[in-house]
Amino acid sequence: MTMLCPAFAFCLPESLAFQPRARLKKHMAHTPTQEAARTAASVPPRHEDLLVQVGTRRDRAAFRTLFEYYAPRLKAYLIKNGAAESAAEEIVQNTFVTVWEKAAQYDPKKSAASTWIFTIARNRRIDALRREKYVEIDSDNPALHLAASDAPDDAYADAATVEKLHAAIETLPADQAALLRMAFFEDKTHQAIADETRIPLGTVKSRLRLALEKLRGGMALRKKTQGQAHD
Amino acid sequence: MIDPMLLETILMHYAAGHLRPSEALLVACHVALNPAARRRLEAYEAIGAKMICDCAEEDAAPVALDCFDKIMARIESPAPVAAPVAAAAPRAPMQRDAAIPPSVMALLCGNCTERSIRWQKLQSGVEAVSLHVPAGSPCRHRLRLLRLAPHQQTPAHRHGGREMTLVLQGGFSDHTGSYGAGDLVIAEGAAFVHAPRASAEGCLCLTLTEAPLRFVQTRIRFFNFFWRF
Repeated sequence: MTMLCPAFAFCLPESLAFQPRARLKKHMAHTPTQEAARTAASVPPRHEDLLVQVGTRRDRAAFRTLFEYYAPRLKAYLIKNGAAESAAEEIVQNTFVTVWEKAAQYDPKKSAASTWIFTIARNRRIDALRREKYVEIDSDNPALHLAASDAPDDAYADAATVEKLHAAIETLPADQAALLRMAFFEDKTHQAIADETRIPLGTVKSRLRLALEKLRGGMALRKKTQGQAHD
Repeated sequence: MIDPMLLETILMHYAAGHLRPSEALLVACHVALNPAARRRLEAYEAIGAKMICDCAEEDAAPVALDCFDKIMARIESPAPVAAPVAAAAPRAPMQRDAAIPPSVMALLCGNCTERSIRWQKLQSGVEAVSLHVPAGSPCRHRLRLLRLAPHQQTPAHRHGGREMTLVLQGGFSDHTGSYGAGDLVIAEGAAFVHAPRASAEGCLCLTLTEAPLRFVQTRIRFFNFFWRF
């Protein structure tokens, strides 16, 4: 069974929930520093708030909560993408060391915690497995931040607007969602997907194209050619 | 063919971490110049994050019991930084080039080994600079800055593989359309032949090719031997 499973999870409304609430609550019971962040209804803090606490207060309990949620998932993702057990463990460690070091730069207005952690894990994975540095867009260079701040209200990846995207994903038929996952996140060639799924190569390509077109439509992006790529 | 879906594919592959360094650099420059592309990339990164979050608890791979303690130990007493990555060699910062947008220049400085932008004339009105991005394993991509004089047209050519062109300043047009600063144009397929012409402001672009370009006109085919672009 696939680890990252049922790409069909794409299609489940539940998959919108980033935080497993029961699990978070368990850890929250021991973290008085986070009590303030909880509402009267004892809603667990959002991962974004935890990450901000790590950045601003060096809050170890918040850090641990994030670790306990993301570490096993990241490890599963890494192993699924070809890392050996020991290498995956090492990359998870490197990822969380970087999360701690960079947490002060995290801006919840610009990205969801899950997206931010995912990009760090992706970059650490390439450092480790390919022995090369991934070109990171958000370096510490002010020139790049200038470009990012041009459209702060339009940021696509903050926790609230990410849901819009997920809604688009959920409209994808399961077969298209599964192919997307294989093509883009498991880095399989179209031929390898065709062999594995026993779907003819031409069908694989046309379904991927359909899926991408739907995502584009769902992201409320104007259908445009490359030549008109500006907003 | 110039296929708009190719651009989406490239953004998704960047998000998933599958691009080689020179391709990733080109995409990073594209999103630095183009807020719409940046938002789409962020959306694809959010999809990647969701794939991790959707992982059911029983499917998740438990980390070693001491994993968290090891992380905290490293945080508390940072080990001397190892230099495992290819780009770690110290070098002088790249000299700035006023024509190149600052956000792109910052990315080139941070990721290329060149210390300065040294334009080389390829023909009248066409200048280029080869850029080298360190890679962990051999890579056949060729990354170049290319500068065309106003209205300059390049000879008709085709490519053996994919050609990606990011317009940094000015613009160009070919039979598929007109492109301006921030546009990333991806052409693919041996049958795709074009003869781009620079706009009235000229054209400064960053191009990535997978295979040398081949001129198609008989009288200039001999250039194929030494204009390895």
